[in-house]
Amino acid sequence: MLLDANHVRRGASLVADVCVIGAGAAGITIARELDGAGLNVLVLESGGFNFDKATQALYKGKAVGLPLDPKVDVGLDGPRLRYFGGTTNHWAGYCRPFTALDLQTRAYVPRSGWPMALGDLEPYYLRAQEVCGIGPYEYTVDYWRREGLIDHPLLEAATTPHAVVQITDAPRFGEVYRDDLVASKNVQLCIRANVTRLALSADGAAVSKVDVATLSGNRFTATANVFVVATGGLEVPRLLLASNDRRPGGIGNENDLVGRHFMEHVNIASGVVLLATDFDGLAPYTPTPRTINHNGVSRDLSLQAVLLLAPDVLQAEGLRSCEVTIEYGFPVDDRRLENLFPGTRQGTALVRAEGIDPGVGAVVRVLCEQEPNPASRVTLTRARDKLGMPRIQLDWRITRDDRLSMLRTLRLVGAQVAQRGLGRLRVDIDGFVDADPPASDPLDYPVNIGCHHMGTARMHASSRSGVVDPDCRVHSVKNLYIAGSAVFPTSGANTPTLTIVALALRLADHLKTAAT
Amino acid sequence: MSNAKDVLRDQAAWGCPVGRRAFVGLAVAAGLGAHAMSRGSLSEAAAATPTRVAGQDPTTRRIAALGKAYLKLRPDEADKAFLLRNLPDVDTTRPVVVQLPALQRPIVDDFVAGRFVSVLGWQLAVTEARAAALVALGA
Repeated sequence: MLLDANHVRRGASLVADVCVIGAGAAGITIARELDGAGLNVLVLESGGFNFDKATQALYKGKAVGLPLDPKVDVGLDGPRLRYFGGTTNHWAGYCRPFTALDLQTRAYVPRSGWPMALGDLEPYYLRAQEVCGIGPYEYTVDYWRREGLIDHPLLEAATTPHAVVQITDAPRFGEVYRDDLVASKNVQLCIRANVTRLALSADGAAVSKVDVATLSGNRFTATANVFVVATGGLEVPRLLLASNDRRPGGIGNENDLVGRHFMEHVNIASGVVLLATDFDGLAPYTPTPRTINHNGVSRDLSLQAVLLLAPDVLQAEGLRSCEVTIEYGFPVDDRRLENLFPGTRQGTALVRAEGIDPGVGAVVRVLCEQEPNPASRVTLTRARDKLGMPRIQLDWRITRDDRLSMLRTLRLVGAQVAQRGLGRLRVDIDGFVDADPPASDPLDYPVNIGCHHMGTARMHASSRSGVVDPDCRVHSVKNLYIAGSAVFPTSGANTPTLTIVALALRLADHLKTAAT
Repeated sequence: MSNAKDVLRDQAAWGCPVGRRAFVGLAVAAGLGAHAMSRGSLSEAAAATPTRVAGQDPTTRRIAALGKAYLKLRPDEADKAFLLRNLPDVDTTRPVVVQLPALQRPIVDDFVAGRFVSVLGWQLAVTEARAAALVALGA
């Protein structure tokens, strides 16, 4: 069922068993799972079915820490989208699960460790594959090579492990699942409905209702037995912190954790690699469209190989998780390459003199995990949006250890490339040229973002260390749950959407079980 | 074709209509010319590029630049005798540059053993960095 919030009677109170706030990947997944489950579900989505500047402007905020992009001010509204389907409306579709090591407590990554193992998540990953429109739960080169869908001598020669990323051909959840929700008999989708406050019960133990406002001036409330906030890693803390009428620090913030531990995927074009190959040698690292037959259904997707470091190397060296791709090749003598990475000809001359004939100069891109850092945080400002909600400030920080880890990772990748006789790597992060020892301190090379907002309502078994428990329920509120990457305790180096969907499926199962 | 700055400006204005990975690609692919001009911290690489030396071909000059940078990192090794002692396969009667192919085995061994060094950003085996240093010293 579809409802426009502007058509709800002013001052009315909508009633449901489950109220889902936000219709992005997590919210839509939960609503679909509860379709036909015997529960009345209300989905409150801020936007309509298309991009709208006024609604998008509700996202505006201030970045005071690391710039989200070193060259252009993308603002806090740039990396996300506020309409039905959420940020999947510009999702590139990349899917890869966390590794087993990513979820473990690692002494060399402060505050790491999920309250679950990969095996606990895998049943949900299996189902998430289907929701995301990709193939089987298979991410190894061996599997896809056996299927005849990815192969290359580079991969056969690899001593560094590779994984295969699956890229969905249907990443827009809003387009793919709109009809399902509109046709549902027990799910009511209310668009243009902005939740401005979670109201606690008199004893403060539960959420009793939410306040809803529209940009046209309508206001009403919604009550439910259970509330799920699925608004993304920046809006989750905003709503929790702004709902401070009964608890001055905001909801779930008894231990000053809401909004802290903000994590991004540091995403950097890290330098040039000379490869003793032709352009086809980059093929495994380039997303390649394939048609697969999975469970009797033909499906289009793309496959891309990525380089990882082996778990024993990560542990021995104490490194963050990372994902490396080799992209955008040029002939090694191309003047454009020299413009992009000055000094390319020095390495080219050296390896040629050594008898290696480099055919391609390519850009190395690294996506890295950062440590959960309490100083990296989202807070409220005095500025307010058109609906009266406080705007947020993001102070994104990465640590010196994060930066050292990235440099060390690049060096190890360079050694692997050389060891395999493929050429040489030059680390040049937008003008920061790696030196031994590092030439500058505090290693302030520019970093880019992956547009992934994580960790601001982190999951932990203890309320002293997490905002939500392993069921994604806010520790101090018995009927309030958080869905989405805000609950990630650590980020891994994989794109987050597949895991967001897996956790949403897990939460939906929990809600169904709890309701019976 | 729009350039990277336009694309990024559009992203800011319209809510990131292109995925981040595509952005990085566009930025890299579209910003090639402007990119280098906009950077202010290329001096290290530029400074290490030697001025044209009579009698040296471009290959030798570029390798010598790497060697010079290595010796800046390891001034204690700026000694032909030391370098030759550590490069036993090098024949002192022939130019080092032409002997580099014969060093592949120890170079790979270096990488396997973790004996590599970052020179002007290049991840080089210690053996080849020392060979380049010999070139810089005129060997």
